[in-house]
Amino acid sequence: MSLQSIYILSALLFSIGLVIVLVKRNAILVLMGIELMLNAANLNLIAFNKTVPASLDGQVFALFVMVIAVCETAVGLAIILQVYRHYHTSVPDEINELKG
Amino acid sequence: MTLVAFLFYFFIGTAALSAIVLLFLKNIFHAALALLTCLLSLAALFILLQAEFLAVSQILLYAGGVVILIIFGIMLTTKAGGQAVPITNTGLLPGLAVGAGVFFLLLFFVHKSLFALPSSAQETIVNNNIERIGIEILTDYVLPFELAGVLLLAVLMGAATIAGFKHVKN
Amino acid sequence: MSSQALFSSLVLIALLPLLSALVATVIPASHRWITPLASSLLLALASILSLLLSISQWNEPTLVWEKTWFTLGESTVTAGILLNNTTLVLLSVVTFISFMVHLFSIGYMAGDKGEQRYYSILGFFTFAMLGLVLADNLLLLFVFWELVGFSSYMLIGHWREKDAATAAAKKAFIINRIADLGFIIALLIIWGHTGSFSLTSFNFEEQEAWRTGAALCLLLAVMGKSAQLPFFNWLSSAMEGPTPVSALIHAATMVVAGVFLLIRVFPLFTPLALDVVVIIGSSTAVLGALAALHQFDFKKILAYSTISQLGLLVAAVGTGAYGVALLHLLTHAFFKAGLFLGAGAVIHSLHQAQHSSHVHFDVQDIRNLGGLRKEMPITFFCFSICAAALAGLPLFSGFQSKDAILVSVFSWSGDQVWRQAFAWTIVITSVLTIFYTVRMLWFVFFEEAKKTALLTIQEVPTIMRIPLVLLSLGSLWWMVAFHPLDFSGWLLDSIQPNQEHNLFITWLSLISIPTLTVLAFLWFKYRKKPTTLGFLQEGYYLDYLNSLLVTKPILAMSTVSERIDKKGLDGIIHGFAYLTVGLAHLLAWVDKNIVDGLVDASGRLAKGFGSIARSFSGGQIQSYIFWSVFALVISLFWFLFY
Repeated sequence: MSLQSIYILSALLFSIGLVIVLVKRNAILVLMGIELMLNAANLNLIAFNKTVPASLDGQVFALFVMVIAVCETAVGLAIILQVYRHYHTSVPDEINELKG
Repeated sequence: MTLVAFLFYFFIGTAALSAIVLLFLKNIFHAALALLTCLLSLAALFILLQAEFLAVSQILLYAGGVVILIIFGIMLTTKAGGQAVPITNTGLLPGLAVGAGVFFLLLFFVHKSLFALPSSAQETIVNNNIERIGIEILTDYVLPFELAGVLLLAVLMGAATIAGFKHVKN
Repeated sequence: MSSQALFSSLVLIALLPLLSALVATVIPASHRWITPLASSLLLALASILSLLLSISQWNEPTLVWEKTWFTLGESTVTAGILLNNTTLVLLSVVTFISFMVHLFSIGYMAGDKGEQRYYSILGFFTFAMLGLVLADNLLLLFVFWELVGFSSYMLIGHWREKDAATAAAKKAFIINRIADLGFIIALLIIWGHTGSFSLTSFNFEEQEAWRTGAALCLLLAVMGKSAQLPFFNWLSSAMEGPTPVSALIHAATMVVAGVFLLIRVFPLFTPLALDVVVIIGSSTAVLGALAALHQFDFKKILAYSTISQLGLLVAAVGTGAYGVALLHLLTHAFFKAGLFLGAGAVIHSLHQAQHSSHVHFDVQDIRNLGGLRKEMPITFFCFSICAAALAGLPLFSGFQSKDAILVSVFSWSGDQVWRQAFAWTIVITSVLTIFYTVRMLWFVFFEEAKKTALLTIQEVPTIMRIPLVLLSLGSLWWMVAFHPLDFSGWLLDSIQPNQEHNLFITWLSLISIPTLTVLAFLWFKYRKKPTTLGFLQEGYYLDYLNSLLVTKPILAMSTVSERIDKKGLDGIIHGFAYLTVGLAHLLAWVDKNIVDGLVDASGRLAKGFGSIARSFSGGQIQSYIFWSVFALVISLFWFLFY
């Protein structure tokens, strides 16, 4: 039961989340990718906390990350809904208002 | 191999597998289910890492909240009555390359222990983590805790406002 | 007063405007009539408190309170309050003018849609300005410096529905941000070399070049905030904001924050940097005055006049006479705020009159105005007192402070020719000031009523008259010293005593300024209609003088040069022309075949690069993320494996 494997899992989850954010042509899936990345970070925080049993800082941090991730999902989905209503698509590529 | 160790590696396996599956699925609803699997496996791992409170929160917040929210989002943004739009990728190869690069870098950090990561856990003597976390939150972390409350309120109102806003054509 | 009580009262003074901002925000829209009253009351309190405090603390030794703000590694940054005479002067001026402007706004902004927003930002601005005045180190000062910039942005763009207002707000904000880059660089240099953000001691250990560099970078920030030479165009467009705001922010307080900063960090400036300060200040002064002479917008005349006066202030600091600069800052705050509020009163009453009579024209264009002295006697009276102070007539505060500036400039210049040139620039500015002041006064109040004749104009309500009267009282000589011709009074004796006097300059200006004012009046009176009324003699005389001194010599010169041109130069020019045509044919061939080819090639090259670059900014968020992550990964690989 070494923590090494947890770190590797966390690295894998983070990379997969990143790839999803980069390549998927659907805003909801991009949101899922972000969730995955946040969870990878959380996993790491909890694993680090195992190495210092006297303190619970890592777990408390993970808790706050979780709360904020939930907030972010809620607002993100609200924005996606509104964008969908406005542009009739949830494909981020087709929304290029930022085009300079 | 003890039962605990078996469960540990089993859940690591399910988490990794469901994440990989999530990357290649074409149906967005199935993707949400894969995400749910992954998150639940992580919750199990949290229990094994003696973070019971977080495991419960994970199940409540993610499995019970976020995934449900995402499924609602999927239903609301899919064209009514029609088949779910299949997910397509853009620039898959460069994306995968960059992802592999990041993965390699992270593995390198873990391997070299660049950030001095101890590889084995020290045994915890205290077993009532839930009580301790409660005390920590209401003493040392009371300010962030209250701020999180304010943030949640703001998000509640903000999300309701944004999602409720009707676009008026003029 | 004990140190602790003093500290608490200072903090209270700074927090009262913030409280006013808060009150204006939380009062429900159904009770919005409370807002102006509550805000004015709080500001009145702050103003009275700071006046009392200034009187009781005047000439006491400098006091500093500081607490650790944050710690970075070994070094600690403190935050606190620095109290000396300069602080006290600014404290009283800011709270008093802000109070006046609040009072005036009760009438001016009545019924405005964004009234509450207006009062909350006005209160916030006053708070930020007080913070800037009280801050005891550069970093804290910089924080408030940005906050006043932000509130200025909000207030310029107060009427959001006007495109010009939002554009002006953006312009002011962006120009100030660019200049503030200088502030940041100066902070970095000063921190790097002295390890502290102290406002009073600069321990550069003989590294004069860095010291000059830091001073020049700070000067850049000052040039932005105080609208100096390359940056001054934002101030004239900032006039899109409500007029009381122009009085408070863009005349009396915020724009002088730059000058205040110069006074605060005066020990930092090396002689070289001070020379640059004078050059910038005096050029701005004369250009601003020239521009003011050619404006037709009422508020823009005042804006350019402000720019010109700010130039004088900066130049005064550059000559080393920072006390004189503070003196002129004080007098200028009073009379310029008075002028702006007077202009606001005119605009307000004309707008009211337009509403009732349904005649519409641009009330800010002085060509449409005229004859208002009969309809608005009190405004006219107060406005002319402030204008007299601006022009520098004796018995008004402007005379003393300008006299002090001229004396200090000439004592700075000494015998050096280039320095004397800049000193004379200041003199020219003073003369131009008289002319544009008289021109403005003439067009608005004296001349025959033009489009305004169609309206029935009434004097502004009492609540708007009170600030005008108080400010014009503040523009009289006793603000500076009891002796109406001596500039070393209560202020200068305490800030920078032993200023030398120059009786020649004083007497000369005593005689020449009234004379020039009268001349300017006559000039504007008889310029357009020389053969009216009973003053024909004098009118012809002026016209004659004018043609004798200006028109005739110029005409004669042009006749002479025309003759030379026709007879002598034409032959040479024709020769040159043939030569040029021949050369041109040769060049055309080279151009078509060689140069064009190169240009086309470079054009194609640029197009190719452009299409590559365009693909980076396709507006697709994911590609932005992709490229940034890509760059991150590449650089990490580079750092780790090379």
